[in-house]
Amino acid sequence: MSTPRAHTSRRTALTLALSAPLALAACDLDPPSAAPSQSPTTPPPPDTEVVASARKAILLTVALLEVVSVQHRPLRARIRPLLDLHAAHLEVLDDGSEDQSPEAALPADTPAMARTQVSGAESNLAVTLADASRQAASGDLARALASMSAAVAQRAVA
Amino acid sequence: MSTIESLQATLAAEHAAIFLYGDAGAHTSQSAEPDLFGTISMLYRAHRARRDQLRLLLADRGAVPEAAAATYVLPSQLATPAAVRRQSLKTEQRCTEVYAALVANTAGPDRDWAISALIEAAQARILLGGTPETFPGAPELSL
Repeated sequence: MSTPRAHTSRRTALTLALSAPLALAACDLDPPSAAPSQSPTTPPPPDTEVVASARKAILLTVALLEVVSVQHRPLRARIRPLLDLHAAHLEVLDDGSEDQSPEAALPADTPAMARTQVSGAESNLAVTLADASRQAASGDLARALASMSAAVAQRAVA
Repeated sequence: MSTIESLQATLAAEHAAIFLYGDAGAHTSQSAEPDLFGTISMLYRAHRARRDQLRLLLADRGAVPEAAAATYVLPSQLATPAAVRRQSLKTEQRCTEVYAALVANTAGPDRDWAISALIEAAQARILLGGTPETFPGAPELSL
């Protein structure tokens, strides 16, 4: 089989996604006006929202996993690898911004119901990450998000 | 890499996967290993379907879909079910990387196709007895 491109260093996907407009802005020939502007003239990088929404979705899932693992100790062994997975994904999506700790949903009453709750949350997260991949302007970011979605979906059949 | 080049690379990977699964199926007993045979057969059909879809995607763009090679280098003899699984896992691993690259080089419906293929191939690795990965198709992100 032939080898396609797309080997990306750990941080490259996000760096490229978030810095491209700033780099382009630096190439403008016209000097900026001396007078301060009332409104920002540089639009936010195109993938800022995509990264933020992906991070938020992961953090919400992590919050649920944490409360479930506190309430239902027998599920801890099953939840630990999922938390490790999401931590690795968050590290790649780290854009330096401070995260607000999202409020988790209430855990289900029984371990069996909580397990179903976790499965549902993971399935939703896989869909959300795939959607984020579709929306990403950066190909490298799209690739990273699609891989994260595949990783979450993979756990569903493991 | 352009979208068409990436689609062609993915089609080439499908041709190779189909050839390798044909060999894997020929070395798997349907009666002695029904689960493995069923999985191999399902994945063989999945890759044939993706090959046909990729041909259409390329033809829609006026490109000539890449033909399969006359032959492919086969792995060493697949003498045991474990060897068949190992080879199939490698095939899916290779395909996840190609699909992930296609995600990066496409947009819109083509990217949708690549994302779905990536997810299915990642799940196929579990069906074949593989272990879950942190970044299917993009292993360097784990480094």
